[in-house]
Amino acid sequence: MNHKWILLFFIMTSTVFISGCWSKKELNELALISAMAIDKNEEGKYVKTIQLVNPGNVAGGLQGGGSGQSPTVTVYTAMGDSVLEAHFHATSKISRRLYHGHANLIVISEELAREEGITDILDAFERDPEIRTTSRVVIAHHTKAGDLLKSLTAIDRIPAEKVNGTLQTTERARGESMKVTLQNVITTLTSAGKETVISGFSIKGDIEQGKKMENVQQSELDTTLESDGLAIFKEGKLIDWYQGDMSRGVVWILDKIQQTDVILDWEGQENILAYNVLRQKTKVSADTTNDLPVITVRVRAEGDIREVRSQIDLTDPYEILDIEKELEKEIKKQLENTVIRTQQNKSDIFGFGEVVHRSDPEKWKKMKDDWNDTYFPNLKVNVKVEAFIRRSGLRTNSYLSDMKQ
Amino acid sequence: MKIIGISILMFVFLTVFSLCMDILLGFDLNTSINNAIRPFLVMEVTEIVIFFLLIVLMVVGPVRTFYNKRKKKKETKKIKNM
Amino acid sequence: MEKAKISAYQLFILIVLFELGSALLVPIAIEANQDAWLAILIGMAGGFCLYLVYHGLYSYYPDIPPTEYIQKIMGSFLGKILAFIYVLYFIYLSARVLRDFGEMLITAFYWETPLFILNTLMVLLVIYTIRKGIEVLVRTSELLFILIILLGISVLFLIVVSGIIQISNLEPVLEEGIKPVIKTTFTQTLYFPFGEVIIFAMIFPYLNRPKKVKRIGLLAIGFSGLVLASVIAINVSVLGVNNINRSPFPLLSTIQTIEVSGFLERLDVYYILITVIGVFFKMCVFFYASVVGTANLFKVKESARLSFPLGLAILILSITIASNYSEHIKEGLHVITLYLHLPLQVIIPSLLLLIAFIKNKKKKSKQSKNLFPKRKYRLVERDKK
Repeated sequence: MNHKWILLFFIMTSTVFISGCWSKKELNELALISAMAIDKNEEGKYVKTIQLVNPGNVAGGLQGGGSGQSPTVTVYTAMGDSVLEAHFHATSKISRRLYHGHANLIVISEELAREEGITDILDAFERDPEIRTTSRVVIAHHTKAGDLLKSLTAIDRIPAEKVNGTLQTTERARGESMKVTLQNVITTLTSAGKETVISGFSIKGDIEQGKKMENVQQSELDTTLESDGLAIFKEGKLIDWYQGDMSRGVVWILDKIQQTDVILDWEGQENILAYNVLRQKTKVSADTTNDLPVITVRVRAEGDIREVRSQIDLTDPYEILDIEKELEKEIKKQLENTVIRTQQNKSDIFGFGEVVHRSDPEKWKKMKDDWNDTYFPNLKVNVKVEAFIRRSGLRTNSYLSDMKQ
Repeated sequence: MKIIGISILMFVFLTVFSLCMDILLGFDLNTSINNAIRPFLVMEVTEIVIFFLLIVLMVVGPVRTFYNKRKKKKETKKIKNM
Repeated sequence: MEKAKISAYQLFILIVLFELGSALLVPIAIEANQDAWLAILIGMAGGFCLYLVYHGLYSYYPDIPPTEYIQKIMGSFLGKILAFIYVLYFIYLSARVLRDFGEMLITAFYWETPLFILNTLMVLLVIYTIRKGIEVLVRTSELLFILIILLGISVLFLIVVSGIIQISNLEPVLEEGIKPVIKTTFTQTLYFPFGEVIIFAMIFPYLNRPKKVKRIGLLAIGFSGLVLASVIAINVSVLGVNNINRSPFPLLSTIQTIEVSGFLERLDVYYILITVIGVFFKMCVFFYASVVGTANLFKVKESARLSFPLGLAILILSITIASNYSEHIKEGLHVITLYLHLPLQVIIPSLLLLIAFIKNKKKKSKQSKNLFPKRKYRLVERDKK
């Protein structure tokens, strides 16, 4: 009998501890951070910018009718000698506890990345249990990192979401930028055989305009955020920006292209054909029999013809074979351009070093230390492309082939 | 076993058959072989997984019936011997 | 072979669905320009003749499938080779139909989905149906035929109501004379889709009332020919010859032009339903014939067990057949017709019929001479027992 009562007592008391309210945080006491940015000011102090979500204004758009609304995000800045110090200084301005669990974007300023490198600042982010290692990292191109968070955006009302969404869409549709997470950045920073690439983002328009609600209350925004090229790093420091086809080449060799388009000249006429890559596979292999490894990049792409502006007979299989050959040449040319420029930059962003490491660990040990400066720029890189045309949409030949008869 | 044998035989002949068609279209042998292989060069992971799953399923069916038959034979033998 | 019976009405439906299956999908007879419908009708007339040839062979051997009677007619060795070629031919055609289906869905609706996945889904469905037997297939066809008819009628109604038909597009009739029409007929429409009815020779032995086969078959070919001709005439009158020449799927383009009172638009789903059902039955019939044929040729007792491996072979073949759609269509409309359809649908069956005719005549004459004494002899013998 007695035992039973003791057991019951323990069970009752345990409920008090089991519920786990050691340090409870109610939702209305939290300030949800959606994005963070790191700059460096003239005094050499880190400037941290925090973008906070105003939850009430995100959902209320439909009922409110738009008049007299406050913006969906609020931005605070704070300074400090280290990243974490700046973060603590920010608390003096905010009434709630800062919560990082929803932070999905880390913006680093171009200036900081170019002059000091990003190696020093990421530790605080990686160490914090609240910050996700899958947060995207972006370099602010032509602007301060903090300004990138201050501009209001349409459709996706939280600017951080807009930035992430844009990165994802351009990666899928065009392949000129790519999703780079905090974890990716740190692994590439520490790897001897692969250098860091981070997507760039820039502000088009006046930043002061972008801060105001009026910016999103018009059909054409004065100030918008745009995905803008790829930042190329060497040993943690930004050394070059790639744009357009050049940046797509990087994404392509990294095998991250999902869809993209290739414009082709045909029989002397310029930009006649548009080819849409729907699927592709890129394999990089290394041949280490000689002193200097030979790298082979093998690309296989399949897709459709989506635009024709001349009288090409697309019903003819031979013609399609010819177009495929031409496509292969064009893609090869673009990829080779990217490789050549990267070799001039002396920064192995493609991870060729890792490929050599995997295929010949012994040789790699010898080359490892001056891979970027002596071996990588002199590598012989063969690009082999196979492009397949599968379909041509809802029409075979263009109507142009009928017009000129 | 017989089933698998027949299917492989049929498949080989069918491939030859379709290659012949390609050649009749005016391609040379090399291009037509290429044409036959090319669709499989760019496959997504899901496709490859499903592909192998189908092949495994194809093999599993006949092998299972083969073993079942063997078992039955043995059992009947045992019964006879007893 | 399984024991199953098909009624005359079911045979009619099956033939109609089979004929319309992929013929509605791909552009046929476009070489005849605005007289495409005429080419179809002449092809249909040729189809009647071919059907009579196949039926003639069937009437000589009403209980066994062609893979067996070829061996009886041509002798064991040559017959076996021929039968093997026929089985390969059936499998190949079924792979082509599968590819047509996949290409259509990808081009028009699922352009990011891999061909392999769509084809796999279809093949698995077909394998399942065939494993359940031909009776299941036929009963399904009865059910879905009603749906197809309803869809067809409503599409026709909508096309007429939306006022997009311009009869003038069909004129001038016979602009270049009858020659191109005849040429199209004999290079295309005679074999595809009408000559493909040869596959039903494999199904004839299952019929309930063999006497009705001839009439029902001719009726079905006539019906499907008329439907096909009118569909193509509508396509041309709606889109014009130029557009048809550039469309990989003319009927889809026609249905997409429908626009009735502002809200009945983008009726692509009609097209998907019609073609997917049609292609499903066409594939099923081809696939069934190839499974039964293979089983018959290699003396496999349970033909259902062959369906999965053969289905897989069809799946792979449907993808290796061509690297791109142009190649697939060019092969289908120009190479296959000349090098496969012509000999296998026209020349060889006619030869077989001729040989069978001669052989049976000899037999008959022998029998008629011996008939009386033989019977007497038998009777006598039986009496003795």
